[in-house]
Amino acid sequence: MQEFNENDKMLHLVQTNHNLLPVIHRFGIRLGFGNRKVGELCSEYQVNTAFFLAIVNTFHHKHSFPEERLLSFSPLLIVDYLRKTHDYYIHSSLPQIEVLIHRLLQSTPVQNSEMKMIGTFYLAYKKKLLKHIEEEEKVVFPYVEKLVLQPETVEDRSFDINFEKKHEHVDLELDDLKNLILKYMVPEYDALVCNKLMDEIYSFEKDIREHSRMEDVILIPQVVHLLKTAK
Amino acid sequence: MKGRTIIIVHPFDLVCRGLAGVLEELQGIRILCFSSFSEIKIVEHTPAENLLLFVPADCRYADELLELRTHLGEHCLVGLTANKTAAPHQKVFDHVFSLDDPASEFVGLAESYFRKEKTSQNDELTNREREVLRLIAMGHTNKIIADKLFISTHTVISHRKNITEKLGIKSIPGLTVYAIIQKIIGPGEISPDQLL
Ligand SMILES: [Fe+2]
Ligand SMILES: [Fe+2]
Repeated sequence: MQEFNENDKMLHLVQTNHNLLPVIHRFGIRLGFGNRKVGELCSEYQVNTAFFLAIVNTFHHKHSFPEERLLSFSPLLIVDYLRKTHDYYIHSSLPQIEVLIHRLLQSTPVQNSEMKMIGTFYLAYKKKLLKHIEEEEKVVFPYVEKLVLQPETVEDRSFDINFEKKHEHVDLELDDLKNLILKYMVPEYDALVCNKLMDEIYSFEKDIREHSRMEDVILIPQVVHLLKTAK
Repeated sequence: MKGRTIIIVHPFDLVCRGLAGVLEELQGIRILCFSSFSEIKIVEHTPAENLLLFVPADCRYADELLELRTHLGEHCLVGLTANKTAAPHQKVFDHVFSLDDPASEFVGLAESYFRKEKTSQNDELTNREREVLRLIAMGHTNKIIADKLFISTHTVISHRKNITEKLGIKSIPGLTVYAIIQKIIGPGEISPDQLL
């Protein structure tokens, strides 16, 4: 498979797939690439080049997930990346979708006030997701970091590996949100706002799916492994 | 994510990507590619309601194929051969396709395989289903719904399944919002925490 490597120009990545731009930003790398290569920019921004490449390649090749390779990185890198992704959801995706849903519903006729329930549904979804994220940031991630940095101080070894089962739940509701809008929207609404909203929802869905997969298939197995070896 | 998934296992990247590219025209189906059977363990982490697998029909993989078959249950296993004449281990496969078959046949197979699950074409609920949906939206359990309607919980569960299939909405909050939008229930009739 043709994969991006450290000698590719960073510009080439974005020109090949502009959806990579948020991922690049997530690593703290800013525009003004000039002709600099991935390797050069990564070291300039003190980003682990191999890890950066593994992430962008996973993101770009939607049909593959390099499980083995990702498992080989330190859980600290994984956690750091997952945190940055959370930030992106909290400060960009979720509020954007909220604003667009609000605008979409405002463009529907007043007599269809039941449609406002779609907004309520989204807010409830958002609340659940934010609670999940908060649990990860306050409990799971610090636990993983402690397990790597000071394993001897970790007393509680009964980590709940079923924690991430909640993903399924959240995935379902995002899918329901799409169906409620696509299948049951009243025909009078602002089409431009709707296009933007669906765009945003679809790219958020793709992003969070990769994110959850990383937690389920990479981070949790790493924790299980650490718990085994630290005994 | 639960749903419809296609898994392609083939040592040739070109086959994986070519087939994935062809099948991509079917919307709403997740496609995963693996270059070897050893990587396929990821399936354990991605429980799917409905799996369609394309794998090489090659006697070198006889052990892997048998093992895969025993784990697959009802899911569909399709063997890929280089040409029509060579097709060993036929019995483990539900279908055998040749790489020189036209692309449309691959698409057709996947389409009909995934369609047979979607029994209902219309999304019109029956009166009974509307009644069940109203009670779901009010936050009742299967047991209580069964008691109220004088039917068995088994019947309630089968109504729920039909409702979900017809509407394409799976979560309780989603069903509740649908019921309100369709005026099956008034917003005041649900409890405020029904969406949480
Ligand atoms: Fe997360
Ligand atoms: Fe998570």
